[in-house]
Amino acid sequence: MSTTARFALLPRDGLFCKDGRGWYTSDVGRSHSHPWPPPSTIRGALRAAWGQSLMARSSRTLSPAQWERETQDVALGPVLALLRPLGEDFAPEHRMWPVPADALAVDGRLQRLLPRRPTRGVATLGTEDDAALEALWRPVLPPGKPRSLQPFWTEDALSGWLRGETPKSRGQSGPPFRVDVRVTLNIDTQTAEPGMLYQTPILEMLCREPLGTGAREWALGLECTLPADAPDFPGGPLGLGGKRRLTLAERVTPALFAAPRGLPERSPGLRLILATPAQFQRGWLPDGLERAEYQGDPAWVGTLPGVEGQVVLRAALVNRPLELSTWDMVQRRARATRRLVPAGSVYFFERVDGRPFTALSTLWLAPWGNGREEGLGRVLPGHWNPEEMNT
Amino acid sequence: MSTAHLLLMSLGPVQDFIAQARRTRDLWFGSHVLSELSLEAARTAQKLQAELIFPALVEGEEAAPSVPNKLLVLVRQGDPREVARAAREAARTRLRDWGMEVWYKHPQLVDAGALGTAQEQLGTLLEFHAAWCSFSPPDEYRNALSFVEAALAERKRLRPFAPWKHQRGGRHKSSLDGARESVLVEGRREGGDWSRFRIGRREELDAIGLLKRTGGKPGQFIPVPTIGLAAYTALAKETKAPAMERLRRECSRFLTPVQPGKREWVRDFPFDAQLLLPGRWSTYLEEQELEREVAERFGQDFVRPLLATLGEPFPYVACLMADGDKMGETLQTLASHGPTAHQSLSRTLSGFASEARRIIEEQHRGVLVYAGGDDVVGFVCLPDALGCAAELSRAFSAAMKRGLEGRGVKEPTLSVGLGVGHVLESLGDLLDLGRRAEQLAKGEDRNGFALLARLRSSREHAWRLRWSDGPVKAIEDTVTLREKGTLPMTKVREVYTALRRIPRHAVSPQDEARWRPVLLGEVQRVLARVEAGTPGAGLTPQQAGLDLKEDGTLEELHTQVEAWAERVFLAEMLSRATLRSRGDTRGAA
Repeated sequence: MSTTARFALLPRDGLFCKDGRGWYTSDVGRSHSHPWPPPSTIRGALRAAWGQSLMARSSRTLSPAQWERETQDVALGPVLALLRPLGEDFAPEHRMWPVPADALAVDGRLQRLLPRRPTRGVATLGTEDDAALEALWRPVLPPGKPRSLQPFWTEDALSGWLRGETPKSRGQSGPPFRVDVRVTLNIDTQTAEPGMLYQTPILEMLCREPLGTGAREWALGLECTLPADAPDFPGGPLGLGGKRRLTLAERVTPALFAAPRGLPERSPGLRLILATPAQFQRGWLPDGLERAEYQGDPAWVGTLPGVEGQVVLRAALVNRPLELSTWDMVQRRARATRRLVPAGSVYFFERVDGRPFTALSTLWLAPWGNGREEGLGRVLPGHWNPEEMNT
Repeated sequence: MSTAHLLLMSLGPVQDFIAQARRTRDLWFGSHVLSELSLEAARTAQKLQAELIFPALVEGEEAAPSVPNKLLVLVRQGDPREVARAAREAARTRLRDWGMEVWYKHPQLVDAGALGTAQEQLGTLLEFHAAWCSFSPPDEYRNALSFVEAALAERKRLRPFAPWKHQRGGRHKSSLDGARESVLVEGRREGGDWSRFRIGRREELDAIGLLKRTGGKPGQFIPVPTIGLAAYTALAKETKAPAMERLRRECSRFLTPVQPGKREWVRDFPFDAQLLLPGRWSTYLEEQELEREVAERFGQDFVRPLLATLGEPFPYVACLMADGDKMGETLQTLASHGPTAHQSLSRTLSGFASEARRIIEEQHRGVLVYAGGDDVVGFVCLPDALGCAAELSRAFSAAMKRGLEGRGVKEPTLSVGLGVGHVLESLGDLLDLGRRAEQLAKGEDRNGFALLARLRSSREHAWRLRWSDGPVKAIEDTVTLREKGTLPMTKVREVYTALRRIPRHAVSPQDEARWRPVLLGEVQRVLARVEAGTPGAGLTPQQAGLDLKEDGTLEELHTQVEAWAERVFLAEMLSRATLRSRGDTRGAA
């Protein structure tokens, strides 16, 4: 009988999630890490821990094929970035969110990007000829040079943003990187082998703060489904990411994953922000939408999971894909690269029947697209008024 | 009044594409590929009677060394959509044909079964965006430019992509981007093209990486270690000429020399200078298929004697990135004079880009990667880097003064960043350092210079000053302080450590009143303990090059002391890079 578990993972010696480049990307052997662990890495760690616990309980050794089979029902639900002062219990106010793509900093001020119908006087063309793409609404950019934003927003900032309010802060930087340097030793000479030096960037999850404010630690909050009841799982440290760095697990309450108070229940338009990367069959375009004519223009129309009625995609703010290349531990070989819509991407919808969207809170951290068992495609529902013109 | 269309086109990806580079040739050729695709698009637009505004010229002696990725054209007749579409297809076809050309030229390297994968990688790389509107020239030009620029920026907030369709699975990914599947054949990698293009045993390349690596000619590109060690090889040639000549002759036996062109300084040692780094010659020569013992003997016989007399080289290089400040505003203001004013400014910028090449490659020991107007990317050896940055800034100001004379437009300035990293870092990482240095140089108030260095210990040091405040003199003065031995590094580190124990921001006026004197007192106390000739005299902050504004807030003081410490760390690095002959000690020829 499957069961749901919720805990926070606390890497004790930093975290390293190598991207698809090999170890030897330079003559000094520098590897490269994802700036934040993809959910698939976390699921991999859970499956490994589940397999280990199975072996410990049954006193048998699993073959790679058995391991694959017996751990495949370990499914990852929502994954959260968490940042708390040392010594506090995890609570919703410690949640950190990817910065939404509809936020822009110009002249030191954050602004909301509101999509509007393309201006008739100016035409555009993209990499492919696609009338539906050119007919999508576009955000009106304020004058001035945009400044880059910090990668994370606090709970306060994000919940306000979903209501349509603009936070004052430009966000929170992620955990800093430190660099671990390793050498290969020659057994005979006990000296470093020429050219066999390599460096790995490690996410340092403990941050010292300026005097007086103590230290804070980053963690990964997760909800997962386990194939059987296992109240003590994981029962000890896990190995997470490259070099299976030791990671402690701390139980957390369901409240950590609950929707914030004050989330609007109704909205004339729907704004969906990706809390985790999403995998759609056609790349950037969400599943369930098909090309059609809408109000005289080519458009994508269809249905969304958990949303009543037909919707039309009005706008999408999506950056280049997150290219995810992972390693198959059973086959001992690289998997094919998947192109995911990056976390923070935003989609805007209207209902075809013109009615407002309701029960927005039911969409909180709901799954969208493929790879649901890997924690992919979790969404944050936000308010959008298609008639609104100013930020 | 006749109407025309203003068409703005942009080709990409730029930064990511160029930064995906391991070897020097990946970087140089990647930048060249982008320039060639833009050139192809521009030529196609011209063939369809479109008139180039930015850049005004793409060919001929007056054109900039590189064609920028953004093209602004005037379409007086015909359909702008067809012009944009034709430009896009021309660029795409050029890339595909080029990629396939190297594919068929190097059958030893590629996996024939990966042809579909390679075609997909080449066919999907190009990102193209265009926006256009009609207007009546010249009066409505300014508004039309605003419209198309805004539309293009808005359109780029969505970058559509499709999943990969032609992956074979089970293959490693490119060592350059980590995303695209390798198209290299599996199995033994020996001889022929493998060593000619220095494709390592564990290295993987996708079709784009293969194009970058094999597209140029061997010897066409100056290796980054050769740039980084240029001052060292110059000194070696000057003071140890016989030993250098022996080394050079020996290298000629099994290595292809690089082509110096107008870069006279390359003639001092026209080979990859990583051969001069202890611990590297074996690895490098083994890649050239020399026996390990032979490689080791080469080092002992030909390099060690040089190192014994000159000391080991300081193996760092500066990635220089410069960018015009507030160019968008300048162009907008100038737009009221119509497209001809923009064409004129474009010619001025082309002239500056050519001048930038001369400054970097002929006046200093460096190599230009890209110069497409106000945007300059290059590598310079450390002892020349400050002078090169300052000269570029001066040349840009002079060019803008000439180009904008009588237009009533405020002349833009040039911010320059120097990102310093180890010569064996991946080119992508060096570029990243350069880019971050450029951002730091720009700051909030522009017209800046910044130096950012990452040492092998992975510690980073960064410092910035506006050009008007004399950054070169400030850092040179600090170098002099260090070289005189007046200011010991231990004391600088002590101040730096003390600074980390003192908060930057006060939480209350009482807190401010408590911490300010602590900070001031600590700095003065540490420096007073410097034993500089007169016993007990010590140094005042001013004598240490720290002009403390004692009436500043805690945050201001913190920033000031921190900037001073960073400047001293960087001056120390530059001092180590400045070479002096140690005189003969032993073993020199």
